[in-house]
Amino acid sequence: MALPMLVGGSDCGPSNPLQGLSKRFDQDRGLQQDHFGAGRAGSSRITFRSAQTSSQRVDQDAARFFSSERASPQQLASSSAFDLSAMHNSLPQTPMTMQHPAQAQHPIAQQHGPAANWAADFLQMPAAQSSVVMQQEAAVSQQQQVTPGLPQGGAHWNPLMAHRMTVSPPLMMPMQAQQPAIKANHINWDQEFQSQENAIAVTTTQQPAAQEEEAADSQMTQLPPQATDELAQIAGKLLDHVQGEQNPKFQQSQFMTLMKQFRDGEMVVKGNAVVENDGEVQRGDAKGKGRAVEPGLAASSPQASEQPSSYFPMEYSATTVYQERQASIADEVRARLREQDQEQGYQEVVDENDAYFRQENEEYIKYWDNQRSQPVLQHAASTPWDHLQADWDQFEATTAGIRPVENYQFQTNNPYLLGDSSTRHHMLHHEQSIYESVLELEAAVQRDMNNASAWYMLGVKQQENERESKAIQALRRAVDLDPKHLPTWLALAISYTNDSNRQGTHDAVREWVDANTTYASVVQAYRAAHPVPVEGPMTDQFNDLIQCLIAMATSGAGGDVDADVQIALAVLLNTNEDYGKAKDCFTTALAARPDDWLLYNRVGATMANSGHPQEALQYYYRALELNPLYIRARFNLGISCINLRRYDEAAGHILDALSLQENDGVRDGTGMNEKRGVTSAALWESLKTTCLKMQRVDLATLCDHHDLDGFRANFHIHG
Amino acid sequence: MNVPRAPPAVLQNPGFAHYSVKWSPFHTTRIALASSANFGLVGNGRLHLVTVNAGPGAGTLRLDKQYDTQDGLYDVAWSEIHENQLVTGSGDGSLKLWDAMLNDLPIRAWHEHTREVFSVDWSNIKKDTFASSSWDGTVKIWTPEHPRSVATITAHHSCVYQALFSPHQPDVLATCSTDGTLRIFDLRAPAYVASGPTTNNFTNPLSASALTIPASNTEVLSIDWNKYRPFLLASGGVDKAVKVWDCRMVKLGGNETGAVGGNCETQLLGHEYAVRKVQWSPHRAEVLATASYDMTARVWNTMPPAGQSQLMYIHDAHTEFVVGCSWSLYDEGVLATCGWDSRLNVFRI
Repeated sequence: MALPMLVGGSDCGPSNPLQGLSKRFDQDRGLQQDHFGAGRAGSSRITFRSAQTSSQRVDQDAARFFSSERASPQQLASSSAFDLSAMHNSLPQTPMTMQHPAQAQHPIAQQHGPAANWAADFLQMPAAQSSVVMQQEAAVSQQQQVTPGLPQGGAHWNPLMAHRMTVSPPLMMPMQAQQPAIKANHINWDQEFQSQENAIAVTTTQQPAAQEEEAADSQMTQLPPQATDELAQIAGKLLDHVQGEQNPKFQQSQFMTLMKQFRDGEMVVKGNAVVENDGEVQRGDAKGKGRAVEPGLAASSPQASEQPSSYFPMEYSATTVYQERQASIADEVRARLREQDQEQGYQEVVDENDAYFRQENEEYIKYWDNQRSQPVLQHAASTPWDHLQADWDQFEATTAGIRPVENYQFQTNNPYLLGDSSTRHHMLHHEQSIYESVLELEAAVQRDMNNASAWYMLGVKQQENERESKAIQALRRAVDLDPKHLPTWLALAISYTNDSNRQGTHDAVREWVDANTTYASVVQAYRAAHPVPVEGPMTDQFNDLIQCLIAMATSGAGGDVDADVQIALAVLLNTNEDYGKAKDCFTTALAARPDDWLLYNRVGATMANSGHPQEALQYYYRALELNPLYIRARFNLGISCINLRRYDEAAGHILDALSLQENDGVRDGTGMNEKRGVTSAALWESLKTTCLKMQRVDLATLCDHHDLDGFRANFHIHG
Repeated sequence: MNVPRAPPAVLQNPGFAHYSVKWSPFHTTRIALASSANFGLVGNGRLHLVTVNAGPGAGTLRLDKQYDTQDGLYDVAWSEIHENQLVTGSGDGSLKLWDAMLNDLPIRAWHEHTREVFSVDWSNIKKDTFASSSWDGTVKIWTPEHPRSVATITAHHSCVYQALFSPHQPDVLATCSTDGTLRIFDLRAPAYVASGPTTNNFTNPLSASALTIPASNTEVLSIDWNKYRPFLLASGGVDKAVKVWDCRMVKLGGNETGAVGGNCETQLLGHEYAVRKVQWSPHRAEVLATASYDMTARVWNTMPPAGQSQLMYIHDAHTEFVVGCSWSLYDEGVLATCGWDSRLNVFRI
């Protein structure tokens, strides 16, 4: 399995192509088992038959797609110049590829120099030999005979191929310039070609099948061509790699011999063994043209490994035998197909398709040439759109109401909306109550949609409840209503930090600074001393803002220690991943507000982010002491436990957090379909990770289904 | 350099490409061989137990026992706690524990890895513990008694070719991978790379290593801890060079994780293809054996006296890739090598 380890280096890139190889093998085996499971050749024939019909239908569909495309190629290209996915999808099935797989492979071969060219030629042959593709070989050569202009056709192909491989602007570049891309997609190409070849081969056989069913069926061999081909390619690559090797050991190596045989298609992997390509042998025998092929590994002994003797006889002059055989069979098939063609007028069909595709290609090339030669024109055409876009942007920026704010989705069936609002009123006396549920706060907002502080409280509550997107929506609404409310800006900055939105964090803190009247003079003085270009890079803006906040903190304008300044500073530092300093700021703020559970959680999170989950725990515990319903702290505690590998504990905490989230919902009167509170996917994901770490796959599955009851029921049963 | 020596003792096991060879830590003459049919591409595996008999030169080799498996065997490790037991790693992701006194079937089997298990290693400090590394990117820690792995380390995002316990520190483990790095893990330290605002490791967690050594631009296939100098590691891989790394800067047990470093002390150049196995001598701190795809095994002196070459010996007897080598623990200077030519060679340097 270790071939690419040997090859490595430049050819193979960072990924391990061997993985692909072994995957192939797995697939291969599966297919083989299917085949042999069927038992008789007859049933596998039936499988092939049904495949034929379906693939033909696909071909027709694809053809339809293409004909409509031909009607308006301009439209297609201009509406989605770079979104060619639809085309991409349809291409592999298109009869277009029937045109010339062999030629399209040439560019690949050329990259490797003459030697590899030879190798690539060989790579095709085993494919043809090993399977259904046999007839394809013949069909292709026939086309060559019929239409000598085909080499050009192959060239026309290129732009299209370029589309499929790299959906990047320089589509019209000549093939040479695209070689790196081709190289990268080498394998894909070949796979796709292979599948196309199969499709074509199938359609090709379809017609003779009507008349010469027997003959057609006898040509179908049992090997999945694609897998064999892949192996052959890897073997070829490996051989290329050691080609210059002078060491006689390499020339005599049995392994290298086997690789050659793989490459040339003489040996294939069948099930769990390496065997000679017997499909070919059988066929040859049936026609009485079998050569004296020494069955080094008899197909009759599938457990090859049981054979004690050396099974890759070196004296086996395989190449010549193979070539002879190949040639004779190809001739025969070719001859037979030609007869059929004459009978059926098949040739006409080929020509028609051919003409169609050539025209298609020409149009395409013309189109792209135009694109390239007239960039200015294109620009001119798009100018009105640019204007419109600019206008719209301006309009959007200036009109608060039009901005596409995602609307806050309230939970339905909120019981607090039904009764009178007296229960809530007395609570408003408290600055921050832990007993209010999201539903209460939502009800308050819904009663007075323009109350900025209600929106703010809802936002903070949603933050605590670990529902970041809802928190951001609510807080945005609050600042729209009252841009002077400082705590909202700070809360928003924190939400953006959690959302990994650096720009948002920066802007929110900046707004907070701008709106903060206490420090207006300090800020003014600072900005006068340090003018910063508004459009500077992100880091500069951040650093400037941090310096500004430090100036504010040191000015002492807000009393001894202004916790808010420290928090703002800490948030920025946190976003900058400067966790040590952020922690200092938070702890300073904590000294000013020793009972703020939000702060404890923030200190904890900062510690955890800087890789000290152990120390973070105590802060989370304190936050939870102050507010046992604080979901975010509970979740954070769980995450720190994961990081400390205390998975059991972690699962418990996250489960608690989920339960709390869920309880914040509504049950409708019937009890039939309960509306649970919205649980957040992040919690479930973390819980799932934990379960996997605990080796509890059963629980992880429940996480996938967001099945809280099931999870609770199973959590303490140790599987 | 290559003074005439007695020819190596040879044992051939036709049909099976050898993947790994290990001397028993309990018996002076026992060797275990892990091998695979069809060069490990597809098919069965076989575990061979071999005895070295005294005789002229390096003696003769006798095949004592063999165990067949469903899938190719890529590595074998002797138990450090039980003289007759060995564990093997297999192409289907399974591990099997064998007892040399019994025939045919393993006494225990585990199947957790999702890809090929490419190395197994038995800790010689915590003697009830062994580790396996797999192409699925994980290293798993096991004890024979537990039906499931004791711990899983997501060591790399790509194939982990080898995982080895430190011979000096319990709970310290080194790995090497397709990604070109060596990593040293402290199994007692916090397990995961911290998740910051910009990185999410919850859904795709990677274990935190105490030290990451960017050893090569391409795959690193093998590593070994020096048996005398703590935190000295040798590595070999696709870049054909053998490198000796001084990793004493590693901080264990602390909260500091994710350090990157490693000081390349020596480079040994000479192999013409990828180096598949590196193995420090158990007797001399400066001697190192390597096996390579260039069909040779070589022995090196990493600190040669002035004026002398690093290369001490080239063993050229194999006719296919040499993939395994192992020093006798009892007989100084005796090396066993194995390769895809189905031959085991034992010789004295």
